Amino acid sequence: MRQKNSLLFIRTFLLSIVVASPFLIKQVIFKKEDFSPSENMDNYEEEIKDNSNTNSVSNPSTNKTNTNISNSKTNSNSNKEPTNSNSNKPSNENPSNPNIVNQSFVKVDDDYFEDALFIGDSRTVGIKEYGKIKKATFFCDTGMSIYNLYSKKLSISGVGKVSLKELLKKKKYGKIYIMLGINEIGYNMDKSAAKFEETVNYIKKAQPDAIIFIQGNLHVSKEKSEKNPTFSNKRIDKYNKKLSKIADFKTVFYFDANEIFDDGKGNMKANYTFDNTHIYAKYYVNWTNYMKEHAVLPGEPSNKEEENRDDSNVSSNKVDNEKQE
Amino acid sequence: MVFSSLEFIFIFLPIFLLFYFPISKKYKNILLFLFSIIFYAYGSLKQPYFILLILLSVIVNYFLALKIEGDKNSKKYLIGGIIYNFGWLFLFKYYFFFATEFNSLLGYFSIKIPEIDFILPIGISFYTFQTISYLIDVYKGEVKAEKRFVNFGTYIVMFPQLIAGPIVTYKSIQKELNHRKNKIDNFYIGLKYFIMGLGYKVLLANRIGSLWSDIQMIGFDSISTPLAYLGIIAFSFQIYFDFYGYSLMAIGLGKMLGFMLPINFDYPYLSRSMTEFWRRWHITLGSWFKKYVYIPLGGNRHGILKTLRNLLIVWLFTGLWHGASWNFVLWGLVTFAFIALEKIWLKPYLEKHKIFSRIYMIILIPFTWSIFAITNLKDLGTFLVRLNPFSKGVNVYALDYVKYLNSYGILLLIGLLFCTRIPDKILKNCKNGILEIILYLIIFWLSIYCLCMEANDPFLYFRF
Repeated sequence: MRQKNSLLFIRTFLLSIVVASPFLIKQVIFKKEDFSPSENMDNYEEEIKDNSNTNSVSNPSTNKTNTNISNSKTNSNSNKEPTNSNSNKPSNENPSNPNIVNQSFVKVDDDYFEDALFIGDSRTVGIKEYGKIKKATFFCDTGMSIYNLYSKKLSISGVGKVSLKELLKKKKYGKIYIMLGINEIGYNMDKSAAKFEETVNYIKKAQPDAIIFIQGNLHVSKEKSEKNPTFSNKRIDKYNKKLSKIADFKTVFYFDANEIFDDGKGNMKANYTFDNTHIYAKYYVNWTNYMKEHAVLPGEPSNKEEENRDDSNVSSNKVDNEKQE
Repeated sequence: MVFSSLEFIFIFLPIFLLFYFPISKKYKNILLFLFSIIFYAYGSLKQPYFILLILLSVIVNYFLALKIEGDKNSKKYLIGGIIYNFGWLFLFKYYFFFATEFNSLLGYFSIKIPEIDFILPIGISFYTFQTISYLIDVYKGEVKAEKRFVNFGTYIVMFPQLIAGPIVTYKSIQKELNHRKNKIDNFYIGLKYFIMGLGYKVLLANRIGSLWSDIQMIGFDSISTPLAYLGIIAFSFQIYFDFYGYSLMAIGLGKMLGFMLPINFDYPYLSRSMTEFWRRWHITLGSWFKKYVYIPLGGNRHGILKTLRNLLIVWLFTGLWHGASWNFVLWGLVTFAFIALEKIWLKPYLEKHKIFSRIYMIILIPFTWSIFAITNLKDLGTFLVRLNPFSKGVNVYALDYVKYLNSYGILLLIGLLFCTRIPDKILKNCKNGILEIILYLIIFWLSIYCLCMEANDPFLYFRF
């Protein structure tokens, strides 16, 4: 009986290997060089059309954005912090030719993030948990990439479990931060950047009054960069550069927090990280401060800039006008 | 190459077995020897001279043993052998540690020795202990020196136990080296052990272990106290299932080939004292130290003071064996402290009061593992402080443990279950052949699936 059992066991086991052999051969012998994500890009075009329709119909949402603008202006006016540079005094900017190098950001305080949406991967999760930003919306998850961004459904407090598209339909944001890249850095970079640009365009159409910030991906430590060519900082820099080209510095901006975490040679400081990819939790507040120093106030360097600059009255007038309609 | 890899399971092992079973008894050992060298070489591709080193050790120890047996003044050969074997181990494993400490001590006198950090040859801690046990046993006359070079070489390099033990004495394996039978039953039992070990490693250890790495990623400053406890419990599970799983795979492979390798773990987390724990954890290491260090020093036969001294020496070296770093020395000392405490005072209480002993061990096991797990003493201090619920961390996310309990809670409970005898009892009672087959197939293929996921999309595995 025991003998029968052993034979049966061994035979069944070997049989299962034979059955699985085609998959195993593919797995063990063939190594894929250029991975392409399986995410479907088909539905995308339809959604742009849908969204532009809804936006033109809803006036109240436009009003809200303007109110937000005047609110944030009032806030910065009443702010007693001496270091807070006021939106009323923009410095060395050329509205008609926004130069990336000369892009001047302003420094804001915590409530700047009240109407902000942060989209990102696990590093954004870090900002959410350890960045001490009290009121903002975070649509982020470990493993998020530009390829699975639309298919993810996350629990957003006050809204429920929604996908990004649903969230953008339900809520209006004054600022939208996007930081994605490290999870798809192994894929074809041009494809990823193109998908990223499409996503930014989608968000622009879904939330036309929001300021969009693209954040550059953080570097990895020198050890990881040298050990694994997929994650080399050279590659990350290359991808970040492609992403920065998406910014028009009118409504879409780009900045890169690497300077506060780098070792001076383009790598994340080794003693700032354990796993060579994420900074220790205690450093996320530094990141928040960096973001506060790289803000853009609504109505600033953009086409609308001529109308809204310096005059909070002008924007409130605008609100009244629209209400009358 | 590691056992829990696709290359080993589907390429190396099948090819080896295809040759091994049909070949006649005469050549089985040569085949095993050759394939083991290939196995070793695959893991040392960047340092090919490691293969030369291990072959050299085989040759040197082979001749030394013959000399020890044949010669009247054999002691010098024994001493020479011990120096030779430990010498390499010291050089590769401990020199850097020694050099850095030496330099910081004598820095005032501007004496500086080169601080070279050598890459550790795979398995050197294990095969060094095996060669030394062999030389000593031959010297004592407990075993006859092996005259057949291939047989001796096979004993040292055979792949089931080359990389991570169990530490096998020549005595226990001698008979089987010379005479093994191909038995279907052996293959069947061995295969089951192997699959079980694979499951422990891939399905339990690897999965639970990521909780501990998540915590290290956050930084000990910034974890809440509950999360600190969850983390070190996760580490305790990981290290057990990882090592136990690997040992099971080794034993299974040995069994398939006709060898009875010794068990290395016997439900260690069911122990009710630290003393008992070390009779159930990494059993072959404990036996080695007992036989070749503790007992020669006198064991417990010369009064309590000498016993404690002997225990201290054993534990200092056991600590160091695990790693060339102060935290391992500290770990050895702390373990010694509790074993000594039990010997002098606690033993009768622990034996009598079951609940007290369980609570005692539930506190002690994670606590001692934390010293083992955290190499940097400063980080260790930070971590131990976090275990205190009244301490304040730096930028702690208050609800972090809720998040991690959500992800790992069930896994931790499963881990707890597998520390008990319950899963094995269920498996043993599974007399139904079909059910047993299904169970093992599930474990095996689920593990393979996980390995594929890990290997397939490396940047997906490391999900950021």
